[in-house]
Amino acid sequence: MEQEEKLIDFKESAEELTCVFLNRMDTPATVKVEKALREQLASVSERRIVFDLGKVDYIASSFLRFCVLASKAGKGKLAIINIMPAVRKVLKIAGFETIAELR
Amino acid sequence: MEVSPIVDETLAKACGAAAVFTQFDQAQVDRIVRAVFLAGLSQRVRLARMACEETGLGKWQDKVWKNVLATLYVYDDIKDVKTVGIIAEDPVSGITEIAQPLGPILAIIPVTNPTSTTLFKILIALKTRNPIIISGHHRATGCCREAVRICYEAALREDAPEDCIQFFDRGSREETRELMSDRRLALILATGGESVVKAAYSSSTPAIGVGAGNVPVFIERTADIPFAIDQILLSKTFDNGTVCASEQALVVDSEISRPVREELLKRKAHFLTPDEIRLLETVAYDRERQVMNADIIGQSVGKIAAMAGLTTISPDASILLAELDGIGDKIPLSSEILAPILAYYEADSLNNAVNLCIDINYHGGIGHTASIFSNDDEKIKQFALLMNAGRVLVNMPSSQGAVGGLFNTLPTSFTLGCGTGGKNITTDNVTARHLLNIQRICRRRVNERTGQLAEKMLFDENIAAAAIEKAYYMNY
Repeated sequence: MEQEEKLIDFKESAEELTCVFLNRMDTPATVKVEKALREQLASVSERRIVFDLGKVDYIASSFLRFCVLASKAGKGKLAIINIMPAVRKVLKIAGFETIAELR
Repeated sequence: MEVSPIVDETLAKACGAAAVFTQFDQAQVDRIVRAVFLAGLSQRVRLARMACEETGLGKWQDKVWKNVLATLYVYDDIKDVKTVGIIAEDPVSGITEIAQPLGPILAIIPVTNPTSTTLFKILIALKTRNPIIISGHHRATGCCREAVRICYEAALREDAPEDCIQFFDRGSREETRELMSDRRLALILATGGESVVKAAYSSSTPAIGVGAGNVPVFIERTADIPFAIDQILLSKTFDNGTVCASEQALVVDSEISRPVREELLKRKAHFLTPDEIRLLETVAYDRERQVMNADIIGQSVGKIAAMAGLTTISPDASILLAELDGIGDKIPLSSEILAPILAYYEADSLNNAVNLCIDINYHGGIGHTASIFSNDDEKIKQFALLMNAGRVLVNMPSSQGAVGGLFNTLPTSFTLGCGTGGKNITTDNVTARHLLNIQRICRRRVNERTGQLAEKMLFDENIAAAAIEKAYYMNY
């Protein structure tokens, strides 16, 4: 049976929850990862949230909503790391520097 | 200064959509545009009826035509245009052009063409990857909102960014002003009356606006008279005269005035008596504000006659003609009146006729449109050179002609620029290419002639300009 491609992974430490997105985050992909992501964000409270976009070359509107959600969960400012240029441009135009640290 | 929540939310969403849109390639954009055009075209009748019913203006059948123009004809114009990424490359000049979107656009929609202008602006905005915020006239919010819904759902089905199309209910003037001057807004596309265009230009956001028309149509002696009258009536009765480019004054070479009058009468045009003119003036024109009475816009001849107490008008009269002996604020019907009412003048020479047209043109219609029926190309050119009009239409109905696409090869548009005379930035029929920031990659192509200008020569003030010019062009 064909394994469905993994789209998200989570790495935890005492201080941080890192959500590693493993492919382009178009609308269908965001639908698939949403449940798992929300469950993780609901339990994070005292830790910082990091979005690792090293393998993401496209983000849909729904992904922007994930960023807003994550910026309100956890401790401190959301960090978005390993951003590809085209995605960085999207985050800047959307004004997300006000809600997240872009690295 | 704190922004009101509705404005903040609208612009935050628009910025999100603008951001996501930057990632779309031409194929994705064109799929979205096609889906939206088909959706709009498929609802052309329902939207036309809604517009007519809600505004009380015009005729639904002609509004169907407007919706067809705004979808099918606009789509035909823009479908093959490159609007994403590299759009031109010239190895000789070394310049490569790249199309970049502007960002969020606020589209002001007039009461006269509510659904057609909405459909048109949505298509050209999406084609250029710009999210659009539609602000409908308060007398047309229902039909505009519905047009937005139809287009947005079609766009989303093709995976367009969320919030790429929004409807902004023009709540308070303050909120609209806030929206207009917010830094996040890239452009205002203002189609409407003078006050809203002025507000757009005063907002500090770049704006493309329109101007008022007061269109003269000159029937020159070489015109095909029956044809000319047919075309003029086709135009002036279209949607009960609501198109800003519709003829406002008929100027006739007196040598052909008799056949012109006969043809008009054959087609049931009614020449008003002086008393009837005085009665009509009271309902058609607001003397205090020196502008047409809004209640007359887009009304039928029958309704206008009833409003003015004109009892001798035949129920099947096509238009009302007012023979006038002047132009200006003291002569109300010489002004723009968006209804089936035409001022009528005769002139005994070409010069006098053109003078009348100039006076009409300059009486509230600078930069918009002028029209001529003639088969003498030299006279057509002479006429055009003297008119201050973005479009000079020859041998065609002015309403449909100015919009473009039906009777000429102008791009189809519901935003007709009037140039600086109309306080606009362009005389163009605004279309998709006006909604792009063109970026240029410039490769090294050294201008060899610079090498022929020695600094010693340039810094010596005694060296004459002619000598420098000669040196510059030497051997070139």
